Amino acid sequence: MYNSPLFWFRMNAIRFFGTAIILLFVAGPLVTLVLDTLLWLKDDQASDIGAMLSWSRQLSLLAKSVVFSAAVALGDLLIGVIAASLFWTWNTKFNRILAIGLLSMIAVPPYMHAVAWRFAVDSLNGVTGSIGMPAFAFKGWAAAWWVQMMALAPVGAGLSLLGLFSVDTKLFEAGRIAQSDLNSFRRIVLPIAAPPLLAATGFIFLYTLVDYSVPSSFLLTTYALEVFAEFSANHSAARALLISLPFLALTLIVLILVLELLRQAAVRPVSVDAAWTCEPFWPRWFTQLQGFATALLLLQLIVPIISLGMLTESWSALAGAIRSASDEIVQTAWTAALAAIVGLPIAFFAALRICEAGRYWWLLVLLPIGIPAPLIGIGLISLWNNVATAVIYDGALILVLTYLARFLPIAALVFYAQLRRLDPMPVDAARILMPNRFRFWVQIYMPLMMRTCIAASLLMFVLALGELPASLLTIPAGTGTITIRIYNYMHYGATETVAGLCLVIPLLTIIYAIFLFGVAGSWRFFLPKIPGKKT
Amino acid sequence: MISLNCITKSLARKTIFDDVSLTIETGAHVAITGPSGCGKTTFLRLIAGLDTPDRGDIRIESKLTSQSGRTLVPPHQRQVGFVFQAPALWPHMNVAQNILFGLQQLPKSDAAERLNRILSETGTTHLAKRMPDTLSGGEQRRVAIARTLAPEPRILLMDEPLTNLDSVAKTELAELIKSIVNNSKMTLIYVTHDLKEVSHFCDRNYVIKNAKVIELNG
Repeated sequence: MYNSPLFWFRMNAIRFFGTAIILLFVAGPLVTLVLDTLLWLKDDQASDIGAMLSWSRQLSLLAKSVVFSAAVALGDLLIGVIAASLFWTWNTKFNRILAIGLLSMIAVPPYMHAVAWRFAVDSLNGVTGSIGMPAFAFKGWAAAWWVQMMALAPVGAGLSLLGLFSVDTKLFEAGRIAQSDLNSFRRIVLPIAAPPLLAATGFIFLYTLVDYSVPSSFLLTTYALEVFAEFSANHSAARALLISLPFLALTLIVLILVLELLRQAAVRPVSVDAAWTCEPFWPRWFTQLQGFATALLLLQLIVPIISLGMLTESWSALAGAIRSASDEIVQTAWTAALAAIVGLPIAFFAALRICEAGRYWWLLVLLPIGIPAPLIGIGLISLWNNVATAVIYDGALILVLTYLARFLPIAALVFYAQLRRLDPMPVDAARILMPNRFRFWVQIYMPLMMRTCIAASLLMFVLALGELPASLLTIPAGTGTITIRIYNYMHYGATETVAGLCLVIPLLTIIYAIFLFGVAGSWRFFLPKIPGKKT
Repeated sequence: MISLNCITKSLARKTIFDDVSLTIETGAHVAITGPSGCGKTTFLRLIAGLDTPDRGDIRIESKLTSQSGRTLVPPHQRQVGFVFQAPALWPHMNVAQNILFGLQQLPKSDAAERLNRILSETGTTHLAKRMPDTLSGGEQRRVAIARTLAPEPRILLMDEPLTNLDSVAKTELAELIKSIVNNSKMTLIYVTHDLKEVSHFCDRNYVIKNAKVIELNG
C-alpha cells in the first residue's frame, strides 16, 4: 500500500541512497577540493596567493583558451548546420542512422585525429616537396584549431541534425508557401531549432576548453594544461583550485546558459516521421556550401582511417602494438565497461531528480562538464587518497571513479532528454495494469528506455576509453591506460605502435556495442510468454 | 460506487476542479463532456490514481483511494480499466503480449483462456502475433480496448476512444464498445466531445464548466 510506513521508508531510503551516491561520485571531488582549499587558506598560507597568481599571464592564457574553444565551436556549428540542412531533407530513417553514425565519431578521441592529420600533412608535404613545392607548416594554434574542429565536426553535425529533427516539418512547409525555401529555413527552422543548436555549440566549447590533449600535442599551452602543470609542480590541490577560479567562473556562466537552452530544447518530438513530399529547393550557392560541408565531414572520416591504416602498415604491426600494451588494454577495457554499467542506474536516477527538482540538480549533476578535467583528477586524489580508502585509491577502481566523475553527467543528460521525450501514456497504461513493480520495470520501463540505456552506456564507455587529463593524475602507480600509453608515445612521433593502439579504441568500442546489443536483444525473454506458444 | 468529496485540483496554476463532489453508482454509464482543456481527462486520471487531488478525497466502493495530495491505493489495485485518447500500446510487445501483461497474476491456463476469449470478443484474434506498429489506427484501438478489458475491471474509464478514426472504423468500434458495456456490469465513465456518443453509450451526462461538474439531464 502507498500509505504504509514501510513503503514511504523504502522510497525515502532509495532517494537518500541515490542522492548520496551522486554527491559522492559527481560532486564529491569538487567539494573536497573546496574544503582542502579553505583549510589551506586557514593555515595562513594565503600570502602565497599573490605570488602564485600571475594575473596578466593567466588572463592572457584564459583569453587564448576561450578564443581557441570558441573558434572550434563556431566552426563546428557552421559545418554542422550546413551539412545537417542537407541530411535533414533525406529519408527520415536513414537520417536517424546517419545522426547516430556521426555522433558515434566521438568514439575517436581528438588526440588520435592529431596523429592522423599530422601524418596526412607530412605525407602531402612529401608529395609536394618531390615536385618542388614548399612544405606546408602544420603547427601552432591554426593546426590545433583545425584538428580539434575536424575531430568534433561529426559530433556538431549529429547534434545539429537532432536539433533540426525537433522542428515540425509542417511548420517549414507552411512558410514555403509564402517565402523561398532558404528564407523559410532561415526565418522559421533556424529560430525554432536555435536552443538545441546553441546548446550543442556550448557543449563543444566546454568540451574543448576543459581538455588539453590536442593543443598539448602541438606543444601549445591552454588553461586546462596550466592547471595540470601547476599541480604537477607543487602537488597542492588548493593552489590548483585557486588558479582555476577565473576559468571556473567563465565555464559556470556558459554552463548555466547551455542548461537553460537545453531546458527549452528537450521537448517531446513533433511528427519527426513526416516524410518530405517535396524536397526543398535551395539556391545554387547554398547547395555548393552544403556539398563543401559534407566533403569536410567525409574528409574527417577518411583521413583518420587511411592515416592510421597506413601508419599501422600491417596486421602483424597491429598485433605487435596490441601485445606491447596488453595490460593497459585489458585494464582500460574493464574499468571503462564497469563505469559504463555502474553509471547507468546512477545517471538514470540523476535524470529523474533533474526532472523532479529542477535547477539546483541541473547544476549539481552537470557541473563537472564545465570543470577542467585535471581539476577533477586533483579532486579525486583529495577525496580518495587516504588510509580508509586506500584499497580504492591504490587499485584500478580509482579509474572507474575518475570515469564516473567526468562522464556520468553526460549519461544523465542523455537520460534526461529521453525522459522528456517519453510518451507518458504507455507508462500510465502499465501503471494501471501492472501485476507488480518488478514486472513493470522489467517488462515496460526498461524496454522503453533500452535504446537510451545503450546510447548512454556506449557514450560513457567511449569517452572513458579516450579519457586522458584526469586519469593521467589518478592512475595507480605502475599501471597505465591505452590513452596514457598513446599520449606518451606520441611525443616520439606518429609511430606504427601509436597508430595500432589508436585502432584498438574503435575495436573495443565495437566489442562493447555488440555486448550491449546482445543484452538488449536477450531482454525479450523477460516479456510475457504466450501460454503454450513460443514468443 | 465512486465518490468524489470536495475535490480541488489545479494544474499549471489553473484551477481545474474547485470543491467538486460527485457520486457515481455502481454499474452506471456516465458521460463527461465539456470544452477542450476543461479537465475531462484529469477527471479520469484522478479516479484511476494517475493524478492526486490537491484537496478532498476519492473513494471507490467505500474504500479511501486518494486524499489531499496522496495516493493511498495505487492505480493497479483499483480494479479500473483505462482506454486512453491514444492507443498507448507498448511498442516492444506484440498484441498478445500487450494483453497478457495485465494477466500475469492468473494461472497460465486461465490467462490463455482469457486471452483467447478477449481476442475473439474484440475481433482481434488474427492480430495476436502482430506488432503495434503494423496495425491500422482502428486495429490499435481494438487492441487497446482488449488490453483494458482483459483483467475484467469493475470500472471502465474511456477517454475519447473514437477520436481520429475514419467513419467505418468509428462505427465498428462504437458497436464493439456498446456490446461490451451492455453485456457487463461495469461502471462506465466515458469522456467525449460528441453528443451522439453520449446518447449511444450513456444514461447520464455530466458537463465540466467553470471548475465544477454539473449533471445535465438528471
